[in-house]
Amino acid sequence: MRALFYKDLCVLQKMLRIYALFVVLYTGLMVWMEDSSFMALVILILFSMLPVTALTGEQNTNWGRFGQTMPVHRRTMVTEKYLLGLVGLVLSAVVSVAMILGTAALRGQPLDWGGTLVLVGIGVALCAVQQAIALPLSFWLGGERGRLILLGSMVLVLLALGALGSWVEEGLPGWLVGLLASPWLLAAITVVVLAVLLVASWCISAAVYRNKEFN
Amino acid sequence: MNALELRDICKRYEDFTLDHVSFSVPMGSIMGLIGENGAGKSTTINLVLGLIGLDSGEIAVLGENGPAVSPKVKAQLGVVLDEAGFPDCMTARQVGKMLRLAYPNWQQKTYDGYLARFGLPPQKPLKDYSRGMKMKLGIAAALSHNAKLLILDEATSGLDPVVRDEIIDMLLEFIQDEQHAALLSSHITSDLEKVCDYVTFIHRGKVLYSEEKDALLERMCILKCTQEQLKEIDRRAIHGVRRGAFGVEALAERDRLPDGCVTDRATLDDIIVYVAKGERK
Repeated sequence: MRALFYKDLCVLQKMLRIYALFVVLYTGLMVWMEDSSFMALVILILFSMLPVTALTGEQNTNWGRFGQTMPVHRRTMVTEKYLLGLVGLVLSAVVSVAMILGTAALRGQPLDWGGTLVLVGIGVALCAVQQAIALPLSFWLGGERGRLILLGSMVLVLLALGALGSWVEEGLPGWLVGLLASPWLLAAITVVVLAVLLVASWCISAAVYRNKEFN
Repeated sequence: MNALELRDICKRYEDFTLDHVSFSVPMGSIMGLIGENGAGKSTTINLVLGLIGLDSGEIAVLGENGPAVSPKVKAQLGVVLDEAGFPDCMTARQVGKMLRLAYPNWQQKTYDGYLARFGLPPQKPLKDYSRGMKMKLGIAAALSHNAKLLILDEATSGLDPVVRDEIIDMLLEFIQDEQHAALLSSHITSDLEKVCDYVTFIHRGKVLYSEEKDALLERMCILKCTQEQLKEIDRRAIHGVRRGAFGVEALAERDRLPDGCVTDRATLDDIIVYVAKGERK
């Protein structure tokens, strides 16, 4: 697993430098713009694409075939991509929180920890759902198509958000109002649901990759 | 124990079938896998490495049977494929670090030694390496973790004769202690003739010959005769015929020919060409 992780870090090195530049650039823009917290979420989306980007890189260099000759189980190769995705999400969440709160501090505004954590939490959840959809399809169809699938899954998630927004406007049921009043409970339920989703996604990816042929 | 055993392996595609292929690679030996393009050599190697699924038959790699090759056995395999698989953005130094994390028996000093021997710059990205340099890197990596079985799939193509000669010497050193073995697939049959103990010839998905190289080359010859003379010869002796303006040349079994026939020594190249392009008698 460490070998695969190191390999992916080498492959993504250039991309991560570009992302670091984006962080600096967006933070600068956020200081000047009003209501610009959404820019921090763009960083989340970029980092959530890391495992699919790594898969695309593998496809382009015939690594897929050679990688199978190394002393690693196929399921370990799948697990490593999911871990890469989780590390990307955690790292980008920390960076996003820092960007939002840092910008507020630079503008002399009060630090809204609660609102920031909710916003970034929602972003992380959506990106995790996106990864759960995109990764099995990328393992099946390859990295290049995986990028297209990732973009498509972003659209699906946004459509789902839109539908959710309409539902909220119509009025929430009582049990949900109660749940939203307890943010920690909501967070815990979200984490459990995401964990189940990601595990299910991993199982599908592992099954796909186990039967994949590398000619 | 044989390093590798294939028993009646089959793999079916829409337009090609690997049909009941069987051969063994004893420890302390080098097996050459030969055949024309599309014969099934790479398919065979892909099956051995578990890159593709087996439809039927059995493969035992270093004594381990099974549909898949376990990581424990893969740690003892040194593999060089026809295209180097390392990401282009990595350097040879980074490749070494990655493989050190992957292989329990990784020998960093050996790897560094091969980099120096092959003249490979350790800090240069692989995208700036030539094809030959990438293949040398693959060979350096394959020989740097105490592998018991080397599998090389067209690994020497694109290399100059000096380097190919060096690799042949390294292969001969590799199997000297009888604890190692190698399976080589190559179109450069002159290299195989220098280094292989055994040869397996695959033609259209079937094994035509699998025996000691010297015995095969001793057994076969190029018969030169007229069309009328060819009619007199036992058809079982003839493995491929090429007709020219001035006569006939045929790949034949020396022992089945009548006395007095004009023959030439056959090379592995001749065997491939006469079987692939020649007519049956």
